[in-house]
Amino acid sequence: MPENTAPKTNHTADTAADPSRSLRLGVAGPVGTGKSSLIATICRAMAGELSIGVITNDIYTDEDARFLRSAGVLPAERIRAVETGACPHTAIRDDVTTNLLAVEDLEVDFAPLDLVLVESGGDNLTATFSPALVDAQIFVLDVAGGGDVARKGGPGLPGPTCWSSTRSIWPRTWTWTWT
Amino acid sequence: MTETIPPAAESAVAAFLLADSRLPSGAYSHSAGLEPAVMAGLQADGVYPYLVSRLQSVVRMETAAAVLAHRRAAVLAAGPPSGEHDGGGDPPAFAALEAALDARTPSPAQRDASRRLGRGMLRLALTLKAGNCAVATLKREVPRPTRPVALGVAAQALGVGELQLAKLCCYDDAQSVVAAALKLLPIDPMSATAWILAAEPQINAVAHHAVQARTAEDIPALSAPWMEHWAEDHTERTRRLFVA
Repeated sequence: MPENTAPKTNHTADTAADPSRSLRLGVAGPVGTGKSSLIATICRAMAGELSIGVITNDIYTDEDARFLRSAGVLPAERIRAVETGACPHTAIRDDVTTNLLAVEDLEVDFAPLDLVLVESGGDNLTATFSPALVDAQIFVLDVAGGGDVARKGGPGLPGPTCWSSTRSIWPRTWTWTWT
Repeated sequence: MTETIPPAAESAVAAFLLADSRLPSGAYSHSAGLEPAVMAGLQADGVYPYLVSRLQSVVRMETAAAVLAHRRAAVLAAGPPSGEHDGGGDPPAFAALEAALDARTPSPAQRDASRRLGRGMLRLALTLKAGNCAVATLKREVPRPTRPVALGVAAQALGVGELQLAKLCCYDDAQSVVAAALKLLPIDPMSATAWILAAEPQINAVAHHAVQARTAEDIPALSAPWMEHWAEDHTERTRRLFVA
């Protein structure tokens, strides 16, 4: 019985040893849990050491991108918005093409890029990133929202590499003034 | 028992692939102009007439361009005939096709939407057939192709025949309209699929007409002014499900 091997495609050469490829980190979680704030904090802390780019997925146009640009944590041209056609799951999991193109464009335009953060449009427990798009993912929960999310679970919880629980990280004096 | 597949046979699987909504080419965020039309007042009873209007205008143009791109790709893939560097002047070059499409698409929003889709399709073709001469030529000559040109080249590279390509170009547009309509209007999904079947005579007619195109001048220049207008209006909206 002959062994079955996958046909060679460009993909096998593309991702493995490409020196201009950055570490791709996804940030997912429900609306309002602090994804953009987490990304802003990471950028503020590490922009001096690492070359960073950010892709935001918004349900409606580019609100998250505008927030991040106004926070001034990265040069505005390194923050790009991808419109997901009101399908936040699809854009990060089922058909990642538009996000992948945006990430690759960033990597080409600002080569060499060390880190690309991909922020998903605010969504629920079932939104996880396809491994085709990111190397690791952070799922952000707001524990002030109650215990339902953690108790009920979902694909978003066992999957991600790291959870971020916003209320336990930020000082209690931090107030959310932006809406 | 061995089965020899003739080398010139058309690939049915590739044709299914290109017509499948599961194809990862980023097309899910496009509505073939339906959302702009709905926002301008189109209702459920207007979706089928809208679908047919598109087949008779925009899709006629795009399908002819896709067929010519397919033909050009076939010439490039066959390699230069002896004594001649360029593979014949008959099918127009990709850049000429792009210019012809742009001239027939006055709406910048529609041109932009087509190029977003085209980029996803080109990426797919590069992934599957990186060594293909026509795909590489398209990437070099037109890095941001329109959807019909990218589709024509991808189809040829994957072994989809010309008439098959023309039909799937029409089918894809019709399905984009119907799929978007199901997200926007109160329509029974089962009865909406009947519209695709009902459109089959028009799809066949557009496809058979498209394969008769020979030069860029043969690409129909049928405009749909309201669709162009709605597409431009749509770019101003912040609360929308679809990019275009």
